[in-house]
Amino acid sequence: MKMKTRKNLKVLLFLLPILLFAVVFVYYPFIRNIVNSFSLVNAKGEIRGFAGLENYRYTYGRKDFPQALKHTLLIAAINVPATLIITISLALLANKRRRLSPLYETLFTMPMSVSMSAACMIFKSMFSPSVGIINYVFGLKIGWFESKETALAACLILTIWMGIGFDFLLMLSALRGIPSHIIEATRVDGISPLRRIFRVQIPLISPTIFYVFCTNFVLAMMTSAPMIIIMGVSAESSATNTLMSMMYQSGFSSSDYGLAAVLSITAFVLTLGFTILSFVFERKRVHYQ
Amino acid sequence: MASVVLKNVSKIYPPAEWAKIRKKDQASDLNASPQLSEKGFAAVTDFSLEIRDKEFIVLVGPSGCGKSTTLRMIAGLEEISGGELYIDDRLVNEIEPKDRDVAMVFQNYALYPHMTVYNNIAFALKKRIRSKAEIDRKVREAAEILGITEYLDRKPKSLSGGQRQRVAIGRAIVRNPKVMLMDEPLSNLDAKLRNQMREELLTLRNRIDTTFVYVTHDQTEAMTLGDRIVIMKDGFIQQVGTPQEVFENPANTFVAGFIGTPQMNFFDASLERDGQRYTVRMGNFHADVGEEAARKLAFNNVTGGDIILGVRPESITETEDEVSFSARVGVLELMGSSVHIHLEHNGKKAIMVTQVLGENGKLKMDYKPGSIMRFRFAREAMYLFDRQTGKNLEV
Repeated sequence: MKMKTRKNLKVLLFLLPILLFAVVFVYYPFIRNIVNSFSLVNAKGEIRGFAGLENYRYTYGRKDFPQALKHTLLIAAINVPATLIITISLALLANKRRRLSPLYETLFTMPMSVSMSAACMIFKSMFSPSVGIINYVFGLKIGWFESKETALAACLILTIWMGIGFDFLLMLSALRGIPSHIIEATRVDGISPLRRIFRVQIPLISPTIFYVFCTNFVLAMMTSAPMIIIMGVSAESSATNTLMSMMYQSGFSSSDYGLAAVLSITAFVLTLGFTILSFVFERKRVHYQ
Repeated sequence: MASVVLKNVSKIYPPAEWAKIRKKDQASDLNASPQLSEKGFAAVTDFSLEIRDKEFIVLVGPSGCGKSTTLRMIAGLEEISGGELYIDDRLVNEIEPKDRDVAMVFQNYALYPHMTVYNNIAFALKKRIRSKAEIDRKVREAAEILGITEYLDRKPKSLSGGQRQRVAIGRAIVRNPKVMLMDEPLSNLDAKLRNQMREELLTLRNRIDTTFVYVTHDQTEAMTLGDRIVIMKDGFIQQVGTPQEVFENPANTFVAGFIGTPQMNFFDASLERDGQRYTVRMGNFHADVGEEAARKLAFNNVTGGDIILGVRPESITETEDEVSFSARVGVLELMGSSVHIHLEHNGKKAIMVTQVLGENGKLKMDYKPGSIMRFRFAREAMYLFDRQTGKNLEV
């Protein structure tokens, strides 16, 4: 009995650092957020009383909320499939080891090494209507940040580009992890390349695809940086708001903690719901070896 | 149903490519191999063979001898560096694997893990055959032959090694290919299952009429399955022949040592010629070679000198005779009805096999480890090899 207690204590001791970290930075803020969303919170962040569903009623009643929700879902709906298609295609192209493979692989993974804020600044200048390289190269005359649609498109392009590097690497290693004799079997059996990709290679990397799908979905739901950094925090910028950038504005600029808490919980519930849905899908479609 | 003809086929991996392959396969110590030159690694050199329609050919040899590479060149999975390959009189060097009409069974089965057994077998058919009923009929027929009907709805994961290999064979036979290629199909199975599958392959072979090329490192499989055996070493063919031919008349010491278990014993001996008479001497033991052997030796202009004397373990017998050689008895390995006796003669190890099962069903063993005993062998049981080249002097 004594031995067991000592052993348990030892385990606890080793777990302590990460537990402390999790409690302070994950669980406490999470619970505090839930509490905040049902409370009257003043500008200093102090709870001043129970508000019931008042914060929710207020948030959902605001006219910029449906817009932010729409943008968030739109970004997720475009970002996730686009990233999957791009990274799988790139990985299929780079799958075979060639002499220049290390070069491609490095080039494709490059976006990984750029920080989000740096990338935002770079893209901001690239999309600039007057001196930007994108309008110049493609011969366009688009004032990217003038209209809501093009501004959202610019932000989408940026977030997709940011995500490609890491996801490409995952897809590539998954593709290369398929035993070579299985691919050889398709060659001898006369399976066409397209059939091989869709019926053999993609099903076999489905666990990775599922992982990329989930993480990308969560990240896309949380998209906020491009909106905040490129568009800035202003009244006009609310045209491109997502749930998260709206939360940032309300929480950090306006110190409206009740609103911020409701927004983040809304985003959390939505993300959780979709993730659970996708796990149902996983049972049918994802093949683990 | 087709003939396969290989004319001076060779495979050389250029140095860069070889460096990559070698990294993957560090277990085989090929760095100091004679196959390695500045041109690269010669995996297969000058391979010429005519495989007849419906013949069962077995390529056999130790690992790294080029047998799998040869098979993969026939399949089209490996580019041919030199020579010509014909399937059914058509030059296929540059033909894609899918257009060669061959099927291959891989050592590790290469089943599609996400598909059911049914789909694994049907997958390759779906493009060729439009009718679903026809596919269904073919799949069920193949499953019937291999006894896997009850597993058709299962995934490969839930099958045993033997069942998986059956599925892999099913996938191959259902296509009714011209040539059936098998790359060590039984190596991943345990000994008991291997024996059972070997027997089933023999039955299967009679049911499906096609040309087989079968690669193995196991000489028992080669002997039992092959119509003809091709023995390879270091990328070169050592001998081609029926199992009986290669066993009775091995071309060189390599083949002699490779075919037969336990392997043939080799002794240093000398050969003396006196007109048409040849005498083998080894210590106190001496024997004239048989008449036919002498004729062959004379025909080959063998003059005598130092030779390697090969004797199969089953041919050594114990004797009281003066004309004999003495050896120290080492370890005894009782195999059941027979015993393997390890001997030491002039610092060289040898092995002899003798039946010890008496008529009364009891084992009779009176060999004492450590004792010195006398042994001899019949003149017909002697194989004479050139000491320098290792070639059989009678062939």
